[in-house]
Amino acid sequence: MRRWGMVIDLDRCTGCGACMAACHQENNLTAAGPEQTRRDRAFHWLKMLPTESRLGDEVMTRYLPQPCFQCDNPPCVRVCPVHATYLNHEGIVGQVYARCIGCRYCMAACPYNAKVFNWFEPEWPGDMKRKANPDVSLRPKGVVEKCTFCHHRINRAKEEARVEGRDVRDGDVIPACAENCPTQAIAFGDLNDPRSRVSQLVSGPRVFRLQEDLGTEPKVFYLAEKE
Amino acid sequence: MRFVTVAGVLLAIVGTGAWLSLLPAPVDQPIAFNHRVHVEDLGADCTDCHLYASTGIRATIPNVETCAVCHSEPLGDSPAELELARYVEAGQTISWAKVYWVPQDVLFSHRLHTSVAEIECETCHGAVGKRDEPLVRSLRPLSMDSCIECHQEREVPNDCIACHR
Ligand code: SF4
Repeated sequence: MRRWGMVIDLDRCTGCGACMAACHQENNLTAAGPEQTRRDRAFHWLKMLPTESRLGDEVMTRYLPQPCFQCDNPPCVRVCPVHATYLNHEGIVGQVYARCIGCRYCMAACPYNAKVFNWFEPEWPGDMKRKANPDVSLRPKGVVEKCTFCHHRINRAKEEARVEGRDVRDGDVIPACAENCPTQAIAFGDLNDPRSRVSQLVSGPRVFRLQEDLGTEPKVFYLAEKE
Repeated sequence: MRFVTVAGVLLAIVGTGAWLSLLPAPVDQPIAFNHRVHVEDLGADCTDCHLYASTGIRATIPNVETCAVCHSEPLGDSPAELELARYVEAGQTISWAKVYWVPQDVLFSHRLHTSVAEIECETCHGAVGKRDEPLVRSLRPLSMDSCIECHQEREVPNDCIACHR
């Protein structure tokens, strides 16, 4: 059984935001606009968290891209009263918009703030809506949404492999953020395959995960020089 | 006795009405297209006109260019043929009304079901190839129940996000 995971190398990340832009475009996200952003309703599935670290006298700002971690033990799933969010057999935490009743329990339960809520009927300027990605739905007002590791791309890769009568290979699935990253800081693949790139990266010494003590078991791993 | 008969007839009328009201409203089609002539008499495959039904995620409803492959000149003098000839000559889009559709949040891959799983078009679409008239409503209801039933019968996974995009 596959277990999809992501590895983000923070020493390569320049905080340029190309991953966020790609995610927005790929997943038909709406723009919250300045007014809503001021009210803390910014709309991102992939956030860029600034962190400050000191190197002697110098203060250095570094950035940490944060998608949904697709936790192996996801608190968001446990609290959903209607099974709109669930952990699938390949480790993706799915979000079924047609089931979501907008109660936002999952948002309260997620320790990483990975989910966002559609407060308004989504709007796209000009003819942007007609340029929407047809593989991803246009979410209506009143539902919670989040990153699913571009699960439509996973499905597409699996389908193409089946048409060609073979297995999905390492590197077949590239989420939009990873594809658009100019420094190739994001790797994606099957954590259960010992030969995959992500498996090799997570067995190195620079690995850590966010708030591991919570026991959520995120499947997004970060790489950084140890202080 | 008489009362029982009248009541029975009334019930039947009301019942039929209620049942009909559950069906999708019939649509108007621009040309009286005959599926049977193309499929049964001439041996065409569904995918000859409904392009990408075996190679793509979405199948197409044929536009005038596809018809013009065979009908560049009128092939008879039926009213439907003459109507088609007019469209072909003007190069005008034929606005066929769609009768099979799934909700916006559902992604259905034709290729996966036809080419990989080798399911016949009729399984979901009904015996369209035997119809003399164009479809004004779907012959089979497409519902999540029917998808799930089929998936259970064939023992294929029912993972929500495999279909709900
Ligand atoms: S990061 Fe948050 S939203 Fe994503 S699986 Fe974990 S708890 Fe759920």
